[in-house]
Amino acid sequence: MKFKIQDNAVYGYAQGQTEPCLYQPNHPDGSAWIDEADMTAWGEAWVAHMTNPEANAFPAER
Amino acid sequence: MAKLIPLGIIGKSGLANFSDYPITSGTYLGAAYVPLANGSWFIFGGSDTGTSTSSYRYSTTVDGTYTTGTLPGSRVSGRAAASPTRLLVTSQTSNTTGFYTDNGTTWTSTTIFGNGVVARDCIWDGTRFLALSEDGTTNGLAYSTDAVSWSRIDIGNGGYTIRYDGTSRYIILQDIVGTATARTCTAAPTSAANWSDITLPSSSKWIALAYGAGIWVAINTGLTYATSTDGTSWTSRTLPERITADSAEESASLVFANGYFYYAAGSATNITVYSSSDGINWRSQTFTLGGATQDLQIVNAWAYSSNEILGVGYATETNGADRILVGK
Repeated sequence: MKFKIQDNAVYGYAQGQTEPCLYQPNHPDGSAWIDEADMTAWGEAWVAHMTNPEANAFPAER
Repeated sequence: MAKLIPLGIIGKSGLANFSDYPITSGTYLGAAYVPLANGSWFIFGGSDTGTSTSSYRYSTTVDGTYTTGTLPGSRVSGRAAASPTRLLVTSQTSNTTGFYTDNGTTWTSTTIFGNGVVARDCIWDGTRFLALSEDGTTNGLAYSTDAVSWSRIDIGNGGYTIRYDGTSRYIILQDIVGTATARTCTAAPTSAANWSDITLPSSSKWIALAYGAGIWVAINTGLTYATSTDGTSWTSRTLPERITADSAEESASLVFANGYFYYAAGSATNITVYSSSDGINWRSQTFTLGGATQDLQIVNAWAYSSNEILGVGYATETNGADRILVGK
């Protein structure tokens, strides 16, 4: 799992995939991203969730 | 002597003739049809078994080869709804509860309820998405025109199934514990004040609901079911076969598609699809599944286009399906 930030959006890639399964142009709550740090924090949490989904710890609300 | 009607002629009358096709094994809880760039038919797995999944299946044709895709989250509860251009699937993933896509393969996370509340069912009513929480505490109904930004109202309880008649009435089957009370709304569903109680004929586990041809049909886990022409006064009737042989089952589904109601009832040896144009008189089509094992006994979700129907499900809650039903 990995993510990248491009054009003010977070893109997520499943293991071994070249096409993104995730395109996140805003926070899941519908609000705009605050800044790159905001996107990075969410992207890192998303990777953690996809790596261990049984923990059910999807990126938390801000 | 009764005259036998060839299935091909039945098919031309609008009644679908069903066959089964292989699918990668899974516990399927949701299905949708919406023509998107990378697929039109979508099948979603679930976590009733306690197993998380991020995978789903998609295909451009209903009986074609289904490709496995990856959702950007796990614990998919599987119910899906589609606007003409956007597909939404609900999830039990904490703080997110849904994912949507415009092309069929790239998904965006959306917080329908948040705080770990499960989004159990969802519909598109022609104007907005409506999502129903299973937990039934507060703010049990959420709505959004774009699936991006959601508003929530307290309708007194969450529920398990929400359906719309396409013009004026919404009905929610409230829970699966066993109750005669359901909820309905004939005005804007976005105001909690517009929702009120209706009473079904028995205190049962009402799990399936559909509307078509001027009639509502509600099915519980027993042999009795109910019909209504106005959504408020219900008549108790008897099914030809229970929608599920397991009274603990909670996900079996009913659909109205292209002029007929359809539900299915399976066993370890075969599956029967029941169809009815009026919700009262049922006819059946029974066949033995073509897989190596009889791995489709409960149809949890249906999807349909103007001339095709897809049914997906599982064998038991701990044994996934390796077959899907396709009606043409």
